[in-house]
Amino acid sequence: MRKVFLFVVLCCLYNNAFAQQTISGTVRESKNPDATLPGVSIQVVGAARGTISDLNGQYSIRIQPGDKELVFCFIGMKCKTVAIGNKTQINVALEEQDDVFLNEVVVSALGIKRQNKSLTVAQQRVDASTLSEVRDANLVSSLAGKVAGMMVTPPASSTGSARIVIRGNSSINGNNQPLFVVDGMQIDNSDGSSGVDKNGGLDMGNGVADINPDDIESIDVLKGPNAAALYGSRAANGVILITTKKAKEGRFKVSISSNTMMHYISQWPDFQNAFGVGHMSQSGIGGSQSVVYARQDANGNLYPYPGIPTMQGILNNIASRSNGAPQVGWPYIGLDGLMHPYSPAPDNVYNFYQRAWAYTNNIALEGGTADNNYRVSLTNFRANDVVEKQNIVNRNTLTLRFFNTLLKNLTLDSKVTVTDDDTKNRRYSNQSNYNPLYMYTIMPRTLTLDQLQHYKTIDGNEAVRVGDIHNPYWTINETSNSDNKTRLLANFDLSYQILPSLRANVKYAREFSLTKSDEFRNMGALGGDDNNGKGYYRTQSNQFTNEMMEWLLMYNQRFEHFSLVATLGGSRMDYMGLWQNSEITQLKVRDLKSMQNFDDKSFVNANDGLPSRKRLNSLYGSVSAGYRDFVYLDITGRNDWSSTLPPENCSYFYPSIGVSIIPTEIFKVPTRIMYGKLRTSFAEVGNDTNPYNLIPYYELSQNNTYNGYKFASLPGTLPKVDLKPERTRSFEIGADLRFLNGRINADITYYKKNSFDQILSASMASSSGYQNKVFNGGEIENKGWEIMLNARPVETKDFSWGIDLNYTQNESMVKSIIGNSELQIGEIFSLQNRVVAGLPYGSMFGTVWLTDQQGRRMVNSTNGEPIRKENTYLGNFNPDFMLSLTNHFRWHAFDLYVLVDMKKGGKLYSGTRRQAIRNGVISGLESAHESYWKRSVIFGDGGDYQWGGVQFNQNGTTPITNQNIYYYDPTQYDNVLNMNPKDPNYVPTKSDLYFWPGNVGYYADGFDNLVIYDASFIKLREVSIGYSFPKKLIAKVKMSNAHISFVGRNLWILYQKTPKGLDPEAALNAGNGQGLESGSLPPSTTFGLDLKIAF
Amino acid sequence: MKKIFQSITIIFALTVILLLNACTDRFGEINTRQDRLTSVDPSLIFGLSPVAILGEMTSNNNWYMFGNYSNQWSVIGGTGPHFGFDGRVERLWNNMYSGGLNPLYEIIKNYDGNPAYTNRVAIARIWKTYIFSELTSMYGPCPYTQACNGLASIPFDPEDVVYRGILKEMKDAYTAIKPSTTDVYPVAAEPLLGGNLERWKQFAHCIRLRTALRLTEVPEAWSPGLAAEAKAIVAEELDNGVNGMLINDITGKEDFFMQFQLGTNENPLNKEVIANPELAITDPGNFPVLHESLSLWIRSETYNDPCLDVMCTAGSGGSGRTKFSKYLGRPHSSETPQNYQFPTGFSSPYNNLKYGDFAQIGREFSRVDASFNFFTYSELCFIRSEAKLKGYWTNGKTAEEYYYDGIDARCAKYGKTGTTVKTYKDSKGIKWSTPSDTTAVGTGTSKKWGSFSKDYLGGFVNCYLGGQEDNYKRIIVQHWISLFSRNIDIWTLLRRTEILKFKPHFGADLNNGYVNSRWAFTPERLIYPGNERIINKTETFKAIDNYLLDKGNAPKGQQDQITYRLIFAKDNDGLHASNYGAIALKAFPYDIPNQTKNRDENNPFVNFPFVNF
Repeated sequence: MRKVFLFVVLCCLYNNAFAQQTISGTVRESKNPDATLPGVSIQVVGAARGTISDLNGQYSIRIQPGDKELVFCFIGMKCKTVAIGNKTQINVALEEQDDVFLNEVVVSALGIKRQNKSLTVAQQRVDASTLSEVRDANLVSSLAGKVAGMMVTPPASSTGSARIVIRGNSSINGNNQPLFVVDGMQIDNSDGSSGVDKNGGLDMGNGVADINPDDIESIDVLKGPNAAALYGSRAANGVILITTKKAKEGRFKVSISSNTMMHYISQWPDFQNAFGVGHMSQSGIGGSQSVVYARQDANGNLYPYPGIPTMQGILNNIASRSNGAPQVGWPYIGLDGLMHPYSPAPDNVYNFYQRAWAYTNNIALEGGTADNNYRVSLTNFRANDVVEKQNIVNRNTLTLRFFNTLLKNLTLDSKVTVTDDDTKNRRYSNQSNYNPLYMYTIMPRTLTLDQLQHYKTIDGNEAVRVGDIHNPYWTINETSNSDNKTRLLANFDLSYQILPSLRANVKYAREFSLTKSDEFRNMGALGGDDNNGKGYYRTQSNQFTNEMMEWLLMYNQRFEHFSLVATLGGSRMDYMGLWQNSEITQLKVRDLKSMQNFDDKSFVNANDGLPSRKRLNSLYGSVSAGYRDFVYLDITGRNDWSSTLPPENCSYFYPSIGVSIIPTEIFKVPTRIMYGKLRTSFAEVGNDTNPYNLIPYYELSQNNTYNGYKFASLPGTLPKVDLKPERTRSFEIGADLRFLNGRINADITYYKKNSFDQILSASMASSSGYQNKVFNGGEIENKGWEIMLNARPVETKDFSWGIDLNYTQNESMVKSIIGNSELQIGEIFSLQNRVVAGLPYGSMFGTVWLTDQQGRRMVNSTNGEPIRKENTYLGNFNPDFMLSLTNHFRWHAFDLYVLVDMKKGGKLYSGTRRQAIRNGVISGLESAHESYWKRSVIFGDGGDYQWGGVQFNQNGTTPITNQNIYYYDPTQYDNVLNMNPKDPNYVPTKSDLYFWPGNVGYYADGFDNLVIYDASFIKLREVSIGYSFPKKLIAKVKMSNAHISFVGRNLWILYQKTPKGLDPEAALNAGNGQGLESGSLPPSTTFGLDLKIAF
Repeated sequence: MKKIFQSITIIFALTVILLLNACTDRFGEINTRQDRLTSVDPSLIFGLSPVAILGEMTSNNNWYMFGNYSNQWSVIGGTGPHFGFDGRVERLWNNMYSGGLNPLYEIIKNYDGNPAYTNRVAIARIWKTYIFSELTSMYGPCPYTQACNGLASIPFDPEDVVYRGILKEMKDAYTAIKPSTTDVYPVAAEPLLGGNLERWKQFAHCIRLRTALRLTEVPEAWSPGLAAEAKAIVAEELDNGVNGMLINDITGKEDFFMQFQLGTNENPLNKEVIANPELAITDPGNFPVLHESLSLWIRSETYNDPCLDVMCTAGSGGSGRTKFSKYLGRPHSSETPQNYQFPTGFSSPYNNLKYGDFAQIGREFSRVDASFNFFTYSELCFIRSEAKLKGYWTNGKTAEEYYYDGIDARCAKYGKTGTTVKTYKDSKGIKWSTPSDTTAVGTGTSKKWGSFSKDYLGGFVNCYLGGQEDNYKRIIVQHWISLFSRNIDIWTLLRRTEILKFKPHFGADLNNGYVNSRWAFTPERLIYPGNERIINKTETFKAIDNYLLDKGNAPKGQQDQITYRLIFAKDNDGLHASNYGAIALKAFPYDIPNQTKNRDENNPFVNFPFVNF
């Protein structure tokens, strides 16, 4: 670090050494001479040097002998060129331009800046200013609702992985997330939740989560393969181009920002408070076992007959359900062995959670000249979680950026980012029995938190456990994990302006990250299937290197009627990963976090390092030709050579072609009335595969021994020797329409992309000798619409109002999958998320109760059990459409920003609800429970505790919950799948059965359809109310800018179809199997304060 | 301008040279894991197979099924006890292929024809054919010729193709083995026989003999000529035995077995006892006890088997009708079948009996280093005795002599010799051609026979042996007892002979057995696992449709049935099995056996459908 700072200082000195003559002045608006213009770009004509005017419109620039002219340019204004001569002061007034947008410049593939009008594909820029203001711990989450065609799934915890998908899922088994390119470098955004499944695991966060929004200048989203074709492999999912901030030449500047956010759970499920712990309406335990009573106290004094129901020693599922008796306050002996009233503990869930805080502080220094400048930024981020002691983050990001002119026309742009991320106690996720969020699905309504707080016995063992789930106080105190990630991104870009129209760049970039982590679970945890009591310790080290070398020639010339932008480049990318893991599955002593702490060597598993290497060589080029500024033709081509594919298939070519026409230019329609561009393009891109998929390997792993002799194990996966790359062919057509001089804009795109030759790993029948086989096959089609609308209805000096609207609609269809088989991409309880030909990606299949075509529920006539119908299609997770609306207001020094985000359709299966219903904690079933209780306990009709239906023989009275239940006679229907009555007039016999959901078993496995919800929502996603302090006031303390804002994220769910307490955006992980949740965070809200000042 | 073009040309040329020439350079190396093996010597993988097979054939997952199928163990719990449609069978098939067969195919594929590996390939073949002899005995048709080839769709072979194939392959393999000091598996790398070439030849002979005997009565219509070929092989191998190629040690030292080890190759019985001592006592489902059917044959009140205390440890005996028997066995279920009427004065004696009331499986079999036998000398004796009795073989000693040899061998294996064994051999019923004496003698604890020879329903008497006409049954009873703990082999023996009759099982699941409400018979085979039925669908259903018997009987969509009879099996009275190709008689639902026939207290044996030979 010391060296880095030394370098900074040297650069500053170096900058001064070049100072020669200085020109200064003020830039104003010609229409309104009082108004100075900040942010005007001032360039020396013919050189790559320039500066930008400050907030007061003032600038100063050092010039060199031979410099003749300065050009002043500002968005919305006409550029003005002024001769330098011998002047030392040049004041200019810029005239407003009436076709602002015609010269809009955007960053396209390979970081090439192009005029928006010449683009033949859809791409969109994200307003980067709000990202650092309305902060989210994960950059990806912040992108929600900001781009048409993009779908963001927030992470399950504050330190978890967010998922982002553009234009639908195109890969069956592979990665569906876009490529992230930061300043030309493809960076790692691996999914940290890949080890997280329904049973839990630790979510390590996705790679780009730690990009610091304070350092981001702009984000451009290349939505489809067409725009991203120059990235070849991996471009199928689109590309997110992030450009980070550079110094704005001028004077030395210091910017400081401070952001504080408070995060809390804002919506809880409705819990019932009528019935207490127990089963089958019994306060102790019921079902096939009888109630357990304590007959006497510790002193041998007899309790009143028959004793007091006790939960002690009953550490099974039943002791943790709330399907017991009405809570009328009689004494019972709780899980802690003490006497408690059998009364509701209505706040037992809420009181466990706390408010979480996140603090971000950033300081950035910049300065230098146009030729040589620097920017240094340091950010510290600290946060905790809604659960005590969990997800404690401390992250520091240091970014150094230098721009140097080495020789005339030869410049070097260097950037180094160092991130040091320290996270403690990531929360166990989903159905992990250590997940404190999952606990409320099972926590009896009678259970007070004080019964849990004494979580540890005198011997150091877990004292009280709630059913299958560990005492949350045990979890937060006796389990721990930590990880420390050091990430280094270094980027050097050498640029040589050979001619005014020809530039050559050579780029070298390297990304390195090292993550050291450990996980500890103390000995003495109660029960569990996974030997929890024995304790566990794991250390892991994960190293990742990504190295890129690139050269690029860019030719940009304008002839009389023609314009030409051509590029030719080549690159080599090397990826290297190394993963090491050691674990102990049985500890020797308590509390010691050490790899020595094992009892017997057979409890130690160590992996000596799992390497992963890949090289990708590429050559690419593009030609973009324009004629008279109204027709443009884009052609790109890229050839990749990937080391992961066999020699005969390792080279593959990706072409794209696009055309745009601007009819309004042809017919000379004035832009103050209308401007319209039509564009279409075709592209083919692809995807290689993971390393080592071509050769089978034998493992000399730990457990294959007999009599001390170690055997090698055989490869379980049959590789495909002639593997081909995945391919995606994409077509898009769009229109860019602007009215009233850009006051109203619409951009509409229709696309269709087909991904085929998918690289899949499919299960094999065991008799083949393998468990899996890699192959090419399957096709997925995604087609849809993207609409962006924006308008500036009001724009005056004092007040302005802007609206942005993004509309996304994607239709997914699995056209084929090899052998007409299916592939499972996610699973929870009896619900599976599959890829099935003829259905959309991510179709859900589950078990339901059999009903006939009239919807009548069928039960078995002999035993009253409901008949289960497995493998029933229950919808898919893809939304019908998404819509987001942003409003920006500015009134004098105040600004207001409101983002409303909406999703329509898509299904969400809730394992949390399934468990909560099963365990009787959720309200809504009280009347059924009451009715059952009356019958079985008061009237004593019980005894028949089959699956939850009880024979109902009362004298003609219809039980409250007898809902439309009929006996199934198989001879009357064609089959269980269709349930077509053979005789259309057949009416099944009504049954006298009685359903009560509190009894588990069969019930729970047959009601998947009841806990699948429509995941539609409308959320008030982001709000920011800001105030800029008057310049006159802050100038007294030498400040150039000060802005304060009150911000909020996810403030209000305006509409939801999921039950209360279930976030429609919940997910198990950031993988492909979406639309599933269990043990997720209930809807939560973030409020905060953001302060930005600059000197 | 010239300068520019020069620059461009230089940059371009350099990069083209750098990239194009190098565009696939080192790709092979980069995409190969340097820290893993890409090929292995047979000694590194052969041992995987016996270890996997040991684990699979003894897995506690399989107690539930095969223990009950053998009618020697009783395990209660889950659906497993009776029917093979749950995950346990899934695992069995999958592991027999991937853990058991795959390493062998790998060795054969890579080293067949390599003169330096002739013996090791032959040994892989011998063990492979053994695995197939077990696999096909459970499932019937299975992938054999195209197995483990990495095919997406793996054809099944009909049973006779599998049998003819393995009988030939076994002979080819033992013939190929030549003495060598270099072409051997290192002692430690070969868990079964320590790489001993002579022992492998003996093993091959024994398994070939046993497999051939299984096929000697395959109906001609089902596989023309197979029975005759099998009989010839039985004679051939038994003659080889006379020539010293089979094993010959009465104490069991030459038996083929593997020992369990603590850790990864644990004895599941031991694991259950050691790891969960309380569970084993409180949860009867987890540790097997003696089955009522075997108990009737070995308990002290009937034949008083010399190995009784080895096979089981005494329980408390319960109360009432059962209380005098320390070696009380448990039926599959103590529930009374629906609609069953007890004889006057009888009620279920097992009501309210607890786990500890029954005799548990003996410690000999739950020891941490217990052995599991693949083939024993006593088994060879009973095979010889049967072959002599049926006239398949004319050399050697008499059937009676081999019968007694077998009893001596199975007792000697557990250290039982001398007077006890002699008394047993001389007792009525056990003695050759002598009927059982069923006279109830004594009173109280010394009371014998009488109700001790009847099952809990008060009617089924299964432990009676007649005179000369029952000598075949006599051999099979001893053979059956001698296989104790080898539940898969026992099930095969029972289906092959169908001479020992047992009560039906209870707790059958609807649509998956020979079911009438809760009344079910031991299945004839296992159904194919879901993994085959889903992924290798076409071939699996082709096999079900074309290669299995009793086809056409199954409800639509569930064609694979545990009721289908395999070619080596005899007709099961309970099954009403049909002839090959014909539609089966009513297997579902099946009537409760005729109660009156089994209930004549005074003459319990008259109506028993004994097959005389």
